[in-house]
Amino acid sequence: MTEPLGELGRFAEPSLFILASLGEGPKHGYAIMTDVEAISGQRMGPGTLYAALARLERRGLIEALEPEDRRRPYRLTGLGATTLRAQLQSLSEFAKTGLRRLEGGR
Amino acid sequence: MAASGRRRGQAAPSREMPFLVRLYPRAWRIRYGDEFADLLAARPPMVRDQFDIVRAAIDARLHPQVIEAPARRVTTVGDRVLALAAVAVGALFSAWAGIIVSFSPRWGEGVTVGNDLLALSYGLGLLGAFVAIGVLLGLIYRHIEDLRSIGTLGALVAAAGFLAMTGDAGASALPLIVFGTVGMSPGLARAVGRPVTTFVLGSTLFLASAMLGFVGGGGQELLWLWMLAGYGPSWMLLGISLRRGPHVTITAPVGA
Repeated sequence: MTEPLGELGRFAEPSLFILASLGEGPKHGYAIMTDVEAISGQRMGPGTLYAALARLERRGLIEALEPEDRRRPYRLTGLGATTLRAQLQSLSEFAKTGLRRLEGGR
Repeated sequence: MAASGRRRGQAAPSREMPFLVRLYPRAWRIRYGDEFADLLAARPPMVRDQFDIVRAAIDARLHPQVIEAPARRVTTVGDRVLALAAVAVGALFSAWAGIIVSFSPRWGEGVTVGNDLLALSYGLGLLGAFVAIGVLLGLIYRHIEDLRSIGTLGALVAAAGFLAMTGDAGASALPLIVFGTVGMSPGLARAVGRPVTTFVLGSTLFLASAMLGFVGGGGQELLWLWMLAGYGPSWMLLGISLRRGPHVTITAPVGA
């Protein structure tokens, strides 16, 4: 059973971006930040990034790997992957419904 | 392999933490400080990033996500080898002195042990000195967080002293060992505790005093007796204390 990311408040959206970024494999903080900017078109502040990382780690959605020099990669856990999938499916359903209504209203 | 541990002392990390990182609570800095500082070094924050960091630091204080667990010790095979080596140093030094004390026929008139036994005893002493160098280097490797820079320098100086003991620079061995031991004492106290450190430091200073003739009336009897019953055992005690390994501070998610 997955917990919704909505309970993370203002960190819910950054958390979803981070999970999506880690969907393709482990990354450290800087790589996540640049990847999130590439896939979302939004700049993520370093404070927001690490506040979201800490929340995701606390909830067991991501886990830290052994550091490489001072950089510590993170990866999705099984729970994180399930949560990401559920969130994306929910968003997809939402987008489909919105588009259908928009087309029906023309 | 997942990991969240961080050695004690890394809250004050290898490089100076930027001011913005120091706004975060200690447990957060232990857990994320190094990588966060690295991120800021890779991409220096713009003004709006700085506001973002200040806001996040306040959030980290109001809604902590990680806590600092009590320091504990983590023991590896290397720690056991280091401990065994330190005990061996003590045993070798005690054996060195023991041969001289036991087989000197005219004890009271100085060291008069026969040549063969003398060669054997000094061989044991030299072997002890070589192993001591290894122990001191191992101490630096495993306990550098506790030793810190002064203690590390002290251990290196003491190791240089034992090296001098094995070569032609024997006269410089004593001051190097004494000053090195004094220098590494505060760090050693953090690593193995004050009682053991006091014994190690005290026995070293007493041995030096006996060697220089400040105690024992300038004869060598007290020197060898102390090497047998004080200095050697102090290394053994150090070894027993080192078997537990270095301190490690663990951070854990809140509520875990």
